[in-house]
Amino acid sequence: MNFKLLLSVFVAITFTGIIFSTSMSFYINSYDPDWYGLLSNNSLDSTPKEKIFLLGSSTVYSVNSTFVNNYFAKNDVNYEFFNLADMSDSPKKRIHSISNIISNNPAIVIYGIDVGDFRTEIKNEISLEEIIIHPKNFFLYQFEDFMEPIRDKIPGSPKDRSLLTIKYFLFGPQPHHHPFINFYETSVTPTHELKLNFNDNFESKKLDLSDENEEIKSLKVIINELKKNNIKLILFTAPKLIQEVSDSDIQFFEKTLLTYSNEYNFPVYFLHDKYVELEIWRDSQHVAINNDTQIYTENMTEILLKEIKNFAI
Amino acid sequence: MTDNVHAIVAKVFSISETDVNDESGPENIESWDSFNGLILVDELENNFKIKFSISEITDVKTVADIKRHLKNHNVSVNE
Amino acid sequence: MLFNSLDFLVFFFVILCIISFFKFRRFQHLFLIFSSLFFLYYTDNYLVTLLIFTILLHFYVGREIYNSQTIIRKKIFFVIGLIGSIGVLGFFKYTDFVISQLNVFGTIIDLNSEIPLLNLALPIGISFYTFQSMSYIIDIYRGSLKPSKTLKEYAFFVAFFPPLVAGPILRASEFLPQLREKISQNEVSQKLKLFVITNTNLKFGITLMSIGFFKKMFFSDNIGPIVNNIFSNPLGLESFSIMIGTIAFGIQLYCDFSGYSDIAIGAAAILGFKIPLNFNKPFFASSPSDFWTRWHISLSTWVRDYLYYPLVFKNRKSEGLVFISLIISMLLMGIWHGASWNFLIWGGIHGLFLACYTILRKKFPTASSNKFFKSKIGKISSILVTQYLIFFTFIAFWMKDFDHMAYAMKKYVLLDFSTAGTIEIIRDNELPILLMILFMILHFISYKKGNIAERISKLKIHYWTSILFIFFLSIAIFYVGSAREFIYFQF
Repeated sequence: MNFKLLLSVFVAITFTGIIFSTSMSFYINSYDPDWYGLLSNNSLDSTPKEKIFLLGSSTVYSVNSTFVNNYFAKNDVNYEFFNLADMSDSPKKRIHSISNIISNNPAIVIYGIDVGDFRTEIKNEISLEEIIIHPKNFFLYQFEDFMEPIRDKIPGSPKDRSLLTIKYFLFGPQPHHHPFINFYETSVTPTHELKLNFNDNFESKKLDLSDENEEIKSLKVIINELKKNNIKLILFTAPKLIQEVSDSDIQFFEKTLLTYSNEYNFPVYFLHDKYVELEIWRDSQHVAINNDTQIYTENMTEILLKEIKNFAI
Repeated sequence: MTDNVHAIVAKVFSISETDVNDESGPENIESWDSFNGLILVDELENNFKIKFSISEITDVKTVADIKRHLKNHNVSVNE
Repeated sequence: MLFNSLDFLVFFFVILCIISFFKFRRFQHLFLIFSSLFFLYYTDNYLVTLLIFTILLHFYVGREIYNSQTIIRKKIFFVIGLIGSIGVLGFFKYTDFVISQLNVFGTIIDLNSEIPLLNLALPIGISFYTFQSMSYIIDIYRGSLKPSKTLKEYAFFVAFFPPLVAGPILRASEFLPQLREKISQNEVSQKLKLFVITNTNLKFGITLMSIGFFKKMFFSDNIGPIVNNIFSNPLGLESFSIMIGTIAFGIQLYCDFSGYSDIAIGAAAILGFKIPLNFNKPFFASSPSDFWTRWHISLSTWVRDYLYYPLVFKNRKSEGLVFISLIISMLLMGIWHGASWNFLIWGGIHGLFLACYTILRKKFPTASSNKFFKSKIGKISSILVTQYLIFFTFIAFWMKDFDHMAYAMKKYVLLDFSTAGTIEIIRDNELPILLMILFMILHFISYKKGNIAERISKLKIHYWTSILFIFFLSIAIFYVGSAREFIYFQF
């Protein structure tokens, strides 16, 4: 093998890596540092509306902000709703943007979390048998320590970020209610097909709700930060068709969330298994987006209306 | 009757004879498809009064292959 | 192992390092065979035994056919080989389809019992390696091929990992000689080849692989969403929207599959093997039969050599036979893609196009040399008409739902000329539309300029590096977030 050629490939990859990571972090740090895009046209009104931010991963992005805002407008609710869902978001990732969120002064933050995110890798338990039967897991396991920091830096969908950055350059900042994931209609896949195709291997991770878990630590920091800044928090478990953990783990998770809810005084809703009987799924993790799947958005609106009332008291 | 394979190939695929060489084949002659391929077989068989077998036909990738098979049928090919 | 995964890149790099550090022929060949088996085992686990079974069976059968003294014995072994390959393929791929058809028939005649489905996992690459093995024994049976001398060589040929899971389908007559040391242009020695990774091969291979990744991850994965948007629920859409959907799907499928082929051909080229082209600018085909010399060439020539030619060879003057044979061949091509009606319909339509076109050529043998068809306008219009027909068939390739298929086909043929909905679709899918236009420009350039990969690989090293950089960066920046499977993995 010719080392000059390999060096060239290496140079091309390195340059790609540098430009890619700068452009991706550019999106977080330089693009729209004040989240200008979130300042809707309303900010020019004489009576600006209070903001509600929905946070979470792609599991909450199917909540249709247009529907919520139209409903608010019709019923004289003086709030504006933004869906800030971002690909593969988890508390650990979200903590990087919490200062941005706070500086944008939302009145309410409603946060959808997923029990699956609170699992940690089971280390040192990969047996010879496992290696022989699933060489792939061995590979994943060996490279996990090396890959994880890299993977943390790579956003869920580089494409969406790049497009937003390009749009920002071309058209300047624009107000949008779904700033991080492109919001477009997706169709429903029959549930039985989804269940049939689902064969992910969960064995290598287990639920960890101790304070040692980075995700739990981050979640607590987020809760505290919001509280400190007088932002109301609503927590809910994001709906999924198939959960990655056992039923007993889910019960334990619910219990833990209820403890937090008492301790830090915020409402918590459990939606994780609410829609498993319905034909509204695009895949095993995501509710499809179209007129037949509005129930998720409608429930979200109900929760918000109820809590707005409660907060007012 | 001609003993020039190139001329027959050129005629069947309606291209100029100068464009035909030993390396010519379906990859570089655009009109060389299964339909014209069979016409070429007919033309060659009529011309040289021989019968090809199916394995000879599927084996042909270039004009050089045609010449090789013709030689096996004891046809002297005009190079 | 997905080609577009880190696992594969690591795997391939390790293989290249080991091959270039241990320069012992025997070791290298064995090592590549085991690496290939591991490659399949990595994703398909115990189903790799099917590959091993296929290899052993056909190697043995091939040798017996060749050594048989009597015709009967020859035939018996040939049939055993065919039953072996068709049996394995049929069992894993078509059993459930047949059972479900029987059940449908059962309900029609009021049988109250249903045969349970087997729900077998489809072994990856099975359609490709069984076809490859079948061509080996058919060639030996016909007398045009000498069987491979050692099991090692034969196993290398069938299991060779670059084309293993999604083609191109190799021919033993072209591949086996490449395992031996070359003496002259047309002669090989008995000695196994030593794998030396040369600069030219490495540069060409990396270029082609990069182009493949670029086609797959930049074009195919990013055009995919618009296809799903339009095709997953076509009812009520306008003609132009359906057309955009079919064009998008055609491009997606092409980039996906030819991208895969490029990666396979590139990886093989680095190891010093020449694998035949699988695609050759199909969207510039100027007739239905021209299309099939440009699209999935390794499969279409397989079907031509081992099904179509045998069917028509004896009576090639009979128009009726040619007509029927073309349709049968294309139906096989359709069902090869998967056990479902939509692929049969897809194959059937292609068969009809080919058959009608062939009859027209027989009726008007001089038409193709007509002045009009030689002129630029004639050529462009025949390309456009052909492509209109080809893209029509993509509807059947995608849509499994008959109502959807019928609606989309109707709209594709009977234009309604309304545009409001289409404009909205274009506005919602700016990126896929832009990529489709970019693809068409690049496809046109590669049509005009010939072998782009070779041209790029001949550039000076700094230009070459810059071009790789452009490929890599476009892939990274427009990466959709998770490795998508290649469409042809399911076949």
